[in-house]
Amino acid sequence: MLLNVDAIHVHYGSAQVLHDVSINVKERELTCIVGRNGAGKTTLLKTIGGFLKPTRGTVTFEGRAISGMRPDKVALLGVKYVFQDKRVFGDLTVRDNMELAAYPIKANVDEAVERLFSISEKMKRLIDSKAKGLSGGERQILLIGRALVGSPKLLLIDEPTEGLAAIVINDIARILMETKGRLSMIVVEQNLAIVSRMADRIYIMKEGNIIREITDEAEIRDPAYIESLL
Amino acid sequence: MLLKKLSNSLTFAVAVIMIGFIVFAYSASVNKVTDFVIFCIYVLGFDVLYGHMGRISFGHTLYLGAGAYGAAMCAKYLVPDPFLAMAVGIGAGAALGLILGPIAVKTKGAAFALINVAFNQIGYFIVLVALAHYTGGEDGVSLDFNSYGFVDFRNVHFLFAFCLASLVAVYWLMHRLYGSAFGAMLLGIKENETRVRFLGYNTQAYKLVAFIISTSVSAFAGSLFVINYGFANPSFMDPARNVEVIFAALIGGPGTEFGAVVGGTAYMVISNYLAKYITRWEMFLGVALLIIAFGFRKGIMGYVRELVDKRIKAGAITK
Amino acid sequence: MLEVIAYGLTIGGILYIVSIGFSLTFGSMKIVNFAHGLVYAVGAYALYALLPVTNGNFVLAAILAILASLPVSYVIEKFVIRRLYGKSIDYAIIASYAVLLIGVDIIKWIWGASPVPLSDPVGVNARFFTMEIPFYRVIIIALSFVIFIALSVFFKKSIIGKIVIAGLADREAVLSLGIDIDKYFAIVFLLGSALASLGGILYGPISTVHPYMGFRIVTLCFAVVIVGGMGNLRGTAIASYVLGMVMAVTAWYWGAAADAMIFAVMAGVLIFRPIEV
Repeated sequence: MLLNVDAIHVHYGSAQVLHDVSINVKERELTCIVGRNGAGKTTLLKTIGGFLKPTRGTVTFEGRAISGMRPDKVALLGVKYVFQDKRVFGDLTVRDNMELAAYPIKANVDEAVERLFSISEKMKRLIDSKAKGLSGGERQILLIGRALVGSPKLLLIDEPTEGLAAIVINDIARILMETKGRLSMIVVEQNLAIVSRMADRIYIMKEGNIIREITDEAEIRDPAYIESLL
Repeated sequence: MLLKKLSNSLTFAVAVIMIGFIVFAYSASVNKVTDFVIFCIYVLGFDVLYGHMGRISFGHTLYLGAGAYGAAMCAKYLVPDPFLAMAVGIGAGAALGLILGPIAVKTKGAAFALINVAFNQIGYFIVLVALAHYTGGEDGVSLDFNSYGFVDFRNVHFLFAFCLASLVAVYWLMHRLYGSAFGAMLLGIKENETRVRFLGYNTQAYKLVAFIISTSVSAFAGSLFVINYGFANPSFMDPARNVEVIFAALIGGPGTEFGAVVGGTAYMVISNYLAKYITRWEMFLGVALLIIAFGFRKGIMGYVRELVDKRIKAGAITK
Repeated sequence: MLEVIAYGLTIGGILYIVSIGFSLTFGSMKIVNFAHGLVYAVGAYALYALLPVTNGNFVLAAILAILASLPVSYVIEKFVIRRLYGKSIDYAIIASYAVLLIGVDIIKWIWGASPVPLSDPVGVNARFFTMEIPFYRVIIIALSFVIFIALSVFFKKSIIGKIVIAGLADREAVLSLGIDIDKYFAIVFLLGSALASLGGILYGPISTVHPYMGFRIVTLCFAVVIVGGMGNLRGTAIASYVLGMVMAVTAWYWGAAADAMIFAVMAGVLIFRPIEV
């Protein structure tokens, strides 16, 4: 078991947003978290990443308790977070973005850039452009490329296909599928077609609770079925 | 039940102490005590913004000064009638609040603090230099107010009584204000403005009204100061003196009317009496501010309330 | 007229040197650091105290004065800013104000409330076209340009600079890469403070060195930051020189109004471009 979230409760001030949430993630497994808006998916991801602290329960990564750890420390353990809204460091170039990702783990920047190119040829042309000039899909690719620097063990990705055109969504899905074999991922997604294509395990969330865990292959590949459970 | 009574009587007790203090100091120096009282009105005005809207302004002496100069100019160039002067002073404060408010209340936190500093500096410059011909510049103006029979502001006792009555009136007004729906709205804005806005309320309007109330009350205090001293000079608007009211609001406990009064008195006591014994009392002020910022945030009244709440809880449990 | 421009550039240069640190702290931590003015004053007073020690060697005294001010900024950062940052911005502002108050009083205690004399270390005038201005002012202008270029290079090319730019824009994302952004903000804070003390050292000899100079410079920094944008490096530079010019031109026609005019400009900017922090 790579990651174990055990009965966590999370509060925003006095309001409770996560109730008794538990999930498990195995090595090299792609887990999807689905649910309507406000179900608590991003909150769960942020708690795992260290940006929020659970008021009860524990988060364990590779046997080590990380609940309440600072997000930068969590990242150094090999858990990388990819935020929603495709926020890149706009005033820096694409190369600079990769450089920042490589810096804290002392990875080789040129290697990281090469890896980015292998994920997407488009990046070769954009490597010295300011990141704020990139389109939504290009930003998402950059963010994933950034997160992959240093061979992390677990990626936490929040709504990667949101707001993207169909062609671009396919691109992103392809990248995620290619990455699947090398590390574990927890992906929050609203696009159920994509979820069905790539997930090994699905957790359904509703109003701050996990209401279903789907591991059966047939059920996973049936987006209509998943939708009916939301 | 007994403890509930205790908490009310605690407030009552503190009130008695305060009144007692006033009576005692009265026998020492009426003028000084009148000063204390007026300053408390000023702090009450400031606390509308700080304690109840959560916005700290580093430029509130602008409004104190506006009230002072409004009253002074009225007395000098129109009629030296104290009531008219007060009205003009309050009007000046309200007018400034109306003009500057829409700009200021759009911001919060650091920006709010700074915008008010800018306005304060401009105002200070205007009374010190720009309109020095009318305001008397650095020396200010001295005034003589009319008297009508027993309504004689030159009589220190009458003046004191009037100011004390004003303080009680303002205090009561604030109490009603904070207990009303408007007060609840302000608290809501302080805690989470976005949420209140999403509920459909025009938070900008509420903030503006609160701002104008704050500036008007502060201006009222300014006009009272002028009547008490018999002169007005730029020190009323001095930006450096903002620390006085901020300190008073903090030490008394922001957010409660009683805290404002306690804080105002505390500051006046410190600046008047402590200054006699500790020459480096400004440093003491700075250190006190630091301590408050680090630990003693709720001020005296907050601390008292906490103590009382704890007692009540302990009492309830042992039942 | 040329003199006015030169004076404007001098003031602008000083404003820039001092405001950069203030702007960065504001942009990175959203804190109005009043204590920034204290480091400025400490720089000037340290210079005054060290000149006799270095036998009048201005450059040496200046370097030592900057070094002397570093512990002050370190203490402020570690015990005040860092403690309160993230927990409560309002109280951080009050605390920094309190530090300035205490510092000013200590200065008054040691050196008295009257201004102390510091004079132009060069003392010679330079000739540019038709005007004659003190060579010292030329040095200040040149130095401010050099610092501007150095900072631009630093923020564009060095990794620390890039981290700070990224952190100013998106703090969480920087954390998610495994970078302890607060450590870098602290480094930048110290850099900004060192520049503030440099500003005090440079401006001291051509202005009045008195205990309350810290208050004055901080309020001017406010104006620069509001006009130029918080945490916006290029904006801070432009605003500094523009406001410096405004001050010089205003002083030419109506000496006492120079400071107030800055605030009028600041208020004007706020009316047409209201900020939401």
